[in-house]
Amino acid sequence: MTEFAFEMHVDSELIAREVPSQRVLELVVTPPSAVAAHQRPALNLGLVIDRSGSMSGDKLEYVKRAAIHVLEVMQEQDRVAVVAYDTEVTPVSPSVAVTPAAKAEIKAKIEAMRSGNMTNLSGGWLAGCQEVAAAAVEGHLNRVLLLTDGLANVGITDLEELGVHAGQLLLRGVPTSTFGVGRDFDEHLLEHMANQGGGRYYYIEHPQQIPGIFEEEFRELAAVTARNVQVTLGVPTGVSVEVLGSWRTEQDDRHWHLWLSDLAANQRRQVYVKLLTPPAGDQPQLTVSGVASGKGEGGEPLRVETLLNLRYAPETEVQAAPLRMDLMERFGLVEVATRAAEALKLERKGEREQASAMLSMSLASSAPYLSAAIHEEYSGLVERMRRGLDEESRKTSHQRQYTTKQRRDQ
Amino acid sequence: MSSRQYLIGELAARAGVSVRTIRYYISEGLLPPPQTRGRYSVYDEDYLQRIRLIRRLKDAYLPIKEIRYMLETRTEEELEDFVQHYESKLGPGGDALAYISGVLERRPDAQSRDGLASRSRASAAVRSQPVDNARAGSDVMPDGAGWRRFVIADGLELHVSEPVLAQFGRAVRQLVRDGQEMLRRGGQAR
Repeated sequence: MTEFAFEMHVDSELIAREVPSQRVLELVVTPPSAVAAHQRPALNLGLVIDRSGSMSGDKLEYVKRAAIHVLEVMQEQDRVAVVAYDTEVTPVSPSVAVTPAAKAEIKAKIEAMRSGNMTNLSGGWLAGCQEVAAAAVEGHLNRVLLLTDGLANVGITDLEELGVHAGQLLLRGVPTSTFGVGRDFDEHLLEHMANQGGGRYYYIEHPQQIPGIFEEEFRELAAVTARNVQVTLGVPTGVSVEVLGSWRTEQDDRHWHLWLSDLAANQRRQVYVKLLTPPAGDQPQLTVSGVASGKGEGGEPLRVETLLNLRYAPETEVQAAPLRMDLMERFGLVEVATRAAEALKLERKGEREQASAMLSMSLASSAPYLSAAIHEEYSGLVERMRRGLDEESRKTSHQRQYTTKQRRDQ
Repeated sequence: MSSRQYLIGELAARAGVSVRTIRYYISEGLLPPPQTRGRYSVYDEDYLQRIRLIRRLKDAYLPIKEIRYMLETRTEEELEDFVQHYESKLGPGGDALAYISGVLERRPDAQSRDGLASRSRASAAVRSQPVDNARAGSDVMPDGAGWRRFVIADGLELHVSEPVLAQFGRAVRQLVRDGQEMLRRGGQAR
């Protein structure tokens, strides 16, 4: 039986007195293991399905199959709403308890869905969020699953604006996961919505993968043992902080809040933070505090506090001190994947030279910690970015950076 | 107020926060600096009430700066009113619903529900769709102004755009009459 755990590790405990030092912090949150008679939480899902014109044919057929599959594995304690959108938003089914009768009825409605016109992603998504919010019950696990194959071109289409709304809805108990199908959607938009919305982003290359990937999300939700997990870091004045991996963060004064959302049993989260410490004043050390909190299976509060001390020493001693290499190898991967994701965003905008220069620089600085194979892989990406990528390799590469930088591939 | 006094650890335990949090609130000016008695700082019942209020304000997702401003500018009763008003709206999910309504009020184009009421405010992007394109979408209904509605039977309607009606008016009316006739006969057959 694993208990809720939170640890902070650092590459070295020494920081230089005379000059600023960079330290790497590794935050590790371990959710509790499921109790023996684990009953999965009741789910309150909203399936939001793009049925714009481009979905017609195979894609829509597989989506229907996936939605029906999710419906099949749900039980009477669960609730589901189905919303379809093209230019307009069609409530296929309002949120209902998944009784056998409701299953049959919703199934028929899903089967009758046809493809339509343009992509009002925000409209469909917000309607799905409304359904989930309206059906929310204390203790149930809420989640909106947004599936799309196209660019949002009606309603709210701005990445930042959609991200803000996803973040605000997460704070209000309605997280979102996003699923991009095919080649025509914007992977950065969908990843951003999932990062801010406390869910997961999936790239679905071939329509026939849709049912499998929906099932993966469903399995994860069913295994959640720690909900709404957050980490708050308290750092002394003068220390600057960079959180890698595009996690949702917020800063108030000397505190950084990180949202890790719901964690399934055995789904350990590792987050990497770069600290830049100021030269010593009259103090012998700096103390970083960390608190991880969340809610357990029965709604009980989970909370672990820990402290980490960084000791001031002469610069020469700091430079000679060995680093924790295992930690630096994990960090190196996350660092280079974070930069590669940023570079891919530039490449998509046509700024190829800048993109490859950026990744090349990051690769050089992480080189001591990367294996030869990884180094070679990213050197290849630098070259391909310079020439320009096609849509499919953009998305495949972006998906790889996403899972690496958030260590979801572990 | 009672004259009961607490040490910081007792106060933290009673208020359900950490000692660190109390120190943070003091450093941020949300709580006044404590009185000292000999070597110890002591806190009275007012601190306990204040911390509980701050926690409720935090639960309303107010940032620290905002909380400090409210504490400085509002009376206890006003603050209690604010928090109660907020909490009364708050069932599970109520808060998210209020947020979404706010978004949709500011951006009515963000959502057009599939229903006649919303069709009158279909977005400009749709309005500029050529007729053919709109028709290709199975059941898309652009702007209500440019469309005519024919009721064939209860629950069965035909929607025709003005240009199509101008071109195929006679055929459309025939279609409607045929439809009505078919349904009438179908009804009798049963």
